Amino acid sequence: MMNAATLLILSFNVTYYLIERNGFFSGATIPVSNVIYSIPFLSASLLFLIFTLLTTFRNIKNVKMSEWGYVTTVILLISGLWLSYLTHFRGEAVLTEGQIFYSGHGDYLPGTIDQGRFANMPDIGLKLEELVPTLSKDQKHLKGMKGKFSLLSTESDKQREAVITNGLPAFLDGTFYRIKDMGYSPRYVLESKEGKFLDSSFIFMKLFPPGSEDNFRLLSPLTYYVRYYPNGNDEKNEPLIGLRIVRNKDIVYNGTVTMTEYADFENSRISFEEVRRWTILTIYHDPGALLSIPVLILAFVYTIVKIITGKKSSYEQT
Amino acid sequence: MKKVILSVLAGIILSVAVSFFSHKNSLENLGFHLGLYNIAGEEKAIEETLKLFNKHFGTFFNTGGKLEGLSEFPASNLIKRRIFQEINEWTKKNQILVYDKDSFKIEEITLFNSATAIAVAKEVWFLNVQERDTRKKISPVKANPIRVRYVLKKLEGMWRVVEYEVFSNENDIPALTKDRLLL
Repeated sequence: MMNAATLLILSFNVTYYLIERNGFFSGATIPVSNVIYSIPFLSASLLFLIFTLLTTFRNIKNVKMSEWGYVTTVILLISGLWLSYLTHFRGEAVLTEGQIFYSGHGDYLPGTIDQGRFANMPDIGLKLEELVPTLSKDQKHLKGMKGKFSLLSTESDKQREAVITNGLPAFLDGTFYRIKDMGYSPRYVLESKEGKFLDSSFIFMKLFPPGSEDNFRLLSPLTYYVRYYPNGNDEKNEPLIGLRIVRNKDIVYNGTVTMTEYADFENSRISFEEVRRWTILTIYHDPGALLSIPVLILAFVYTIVKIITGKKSSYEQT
Repeated sequence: MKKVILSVLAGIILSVAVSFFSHKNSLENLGFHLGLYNIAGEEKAIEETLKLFNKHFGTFFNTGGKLEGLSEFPASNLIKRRIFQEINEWTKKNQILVYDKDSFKIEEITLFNSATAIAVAKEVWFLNVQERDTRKKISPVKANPIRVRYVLKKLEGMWRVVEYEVFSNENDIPALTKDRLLL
């Protein structure tokens, strides 16, 4: 079935995919979706489809049944790819335990929304009730994660429960959901030296595993560097916050505080009142994938069966 | 068979060409992957960039925010903003914070690709607050020994500091996560 043109296109796409994924010319690895939705990859796929159809219809009288299977697979796969390119939606949102998420551009992490020209943003409302991580013995590695969610609906008052993990994506109402990463969101309270309330908020920070450091900035030129030790250290058996406050290159505070303990610096003081877990929820809506993935699985199974039955018959012949 | 090999080869060559021309600095990036990159030269350029960065950093503070040298200050706009925001705070109080550099030594430079690097430097600064008009010292001189981890990006052939983190000598420097590199 394959002629020179289709072979050329196939080798083009395979090599292009490998080069881009390894970042030989870009300096950094490029995500799978960025490669397969790139103009060269899509164009080559379309050309592959056209050449396959031309070859088939030119010899339509001689095409065998198995070859029709191959042509149908190519049509479905490439149509699925283009449908996916035009209608896919992918977005990521950080959710802290107890937080409600409604789809809307403002609620997604900046720079994570990726959607096709004709994509509709899925209408979603959910609340992260609890995040249950499974950690390694040394508490430094995340082995698994289970998020218990409530699905909210504008059409009824009833809430549905759902469990989303960091393993296989959950498929709910036509949309795939998965969670990844875990961290801690401490809630800081900033006050003046005299105790006048200035500001308070949860800040989502990459503080897992213990000893990892992240920082945040408010409106002043200060940078707050934070580490979180949920099980304390050798001296104290309670949650601890390692805190360093820096004004450009001047360290104005460097120490460890317990929860709710004040760290005094310059004319202010800061404390951390509570810490919650956060995770990143990936929302993926892709009608094209619903078309391509079953075809891909069927094609794979068909190939395996062909190989096995082929081998068996050759064995029987001997 | 010959036709098949030629078709596959043509596809490979075409994909290399398309990928090459669809990225900036393709040749440098390929050279970096193949180990044919002038790493010593880049490390020297990074060192010079950091020296220039610290020279202007001190001067901006010591002059109370004079803009001379701002155009050649190798830093992102966010860093410039953070520096001048603090200088303005001191100005409002009719004060300046004087940064006097005592020592600067680069401990480590790591290149992640041809346009991204980190450098860790050991620095000692002496700081004191002065009255802006009279230059009278109104705080004792404070020795400030620090370690600084700089994240640098190469933009239009020039290295620039896009982020820096400050640690005391007692703090360990935690592993750098990928998102900090702004790749």
